Amino acid sequence: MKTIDSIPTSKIQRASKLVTTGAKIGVNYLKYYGDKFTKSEEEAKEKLNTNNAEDIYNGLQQLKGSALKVAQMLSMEKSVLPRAYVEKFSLSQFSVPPLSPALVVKTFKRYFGKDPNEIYDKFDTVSTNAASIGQVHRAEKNGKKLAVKIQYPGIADSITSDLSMVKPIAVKMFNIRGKDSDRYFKEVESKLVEETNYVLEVEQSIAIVAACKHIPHLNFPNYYADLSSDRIITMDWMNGLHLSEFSTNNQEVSNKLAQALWDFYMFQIHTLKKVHADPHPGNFLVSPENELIVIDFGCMKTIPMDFYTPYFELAKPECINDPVLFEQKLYELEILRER
Amino acid sequence: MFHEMLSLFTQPFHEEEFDFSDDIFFGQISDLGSKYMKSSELKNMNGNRGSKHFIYINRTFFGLYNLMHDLKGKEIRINNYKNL
Repeated sequence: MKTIDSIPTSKIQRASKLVTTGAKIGVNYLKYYGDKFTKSEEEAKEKLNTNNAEDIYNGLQQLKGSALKVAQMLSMEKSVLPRAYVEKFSLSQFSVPPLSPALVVKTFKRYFGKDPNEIYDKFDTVSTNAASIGQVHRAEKNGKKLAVKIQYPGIADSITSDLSMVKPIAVKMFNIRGKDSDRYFKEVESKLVEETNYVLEVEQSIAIVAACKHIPHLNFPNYYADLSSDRIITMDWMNGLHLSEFSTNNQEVSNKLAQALWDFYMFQIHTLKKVHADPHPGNFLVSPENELIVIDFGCMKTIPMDFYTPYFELAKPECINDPVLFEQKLYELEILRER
Repeated sequence: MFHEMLSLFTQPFHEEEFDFSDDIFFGQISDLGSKYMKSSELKNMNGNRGSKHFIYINRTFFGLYNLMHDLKGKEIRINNYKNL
């Protein structure tokens, strides 16, 4: 498999990557206008979207990190985005070219101060999965199969500069204007910075597992704080299929998995007021026993009460059907503001 | 506009049981999405998008609904978490 030996870490290197992507999109638009004369408008548009999605994705793929995270977020808005974007961006959810074995060992040593072989009985330097800000390796210790997640070097430092480069594209795509865009990008930035903090992720994981382990048909790996650092996480290796690869004709199994997923989210939102805010298929597995496994707690969102209350009251039918009450809630949620 | 989206999106919460395999429901969401995508009125609207907490909470519901649909879960007991 193709691996990469270095990640463009300097701002200039990364910026030039995005410029290349931008230039390619320009070329695609030229092709679009060419095609428009020869083909139907619909056909040409579809082709344009496919070409753009591919170029954006290829550009982002080499950037990894926060730019890829943005691609993930975009791909979740399935119904809002043109089909071509969704297909290409869905790939970004769990397959990007991994770091070479030599770079893996070097990175591990830098973060942990020790060679992986000094810590684990066995450590596979070839990664099994690459994710947006890290990649996963198989390991073994005391007969236990483990999964070791290693963060890509330079990610944490590049978030702010990555976001400032992605911002103009996102602002255009979603038509966010003025003051709002700053508020939103601050929120995204602070979440992304949180996600690079693996010490926090281990803490959150352990807390959530303890709070949710009573939910039926729902499983979690154990997390090992003593084998983790701010850039490395060690947890149990979980056998299972990614949710996107899983399919069944057994309605009972479908219902069981879906009910487990629903209960997990409703319990977090309504009882814990803190929720796993990254529900994409790459974060869930289906075990051989057809139970649901949750494997990533990097992105947790705390729901403040002054948001929770109006948000869920707004959702009630008696509020939706009452114009006065409805307007009042919109003010509370800052959708409407006093002039 | 906001009212229309909300009425649709909150449908599962108005029932005791919901069928997430329902293509009609997801078709409606998708239609509404592309309707607003194309709407020039919305594009030129200099409106604000509400509290910053919407970003991740809406993203969560969006992702969750999609996963529920992919899993084809039927007869999902909406308030089951209260009994756990």
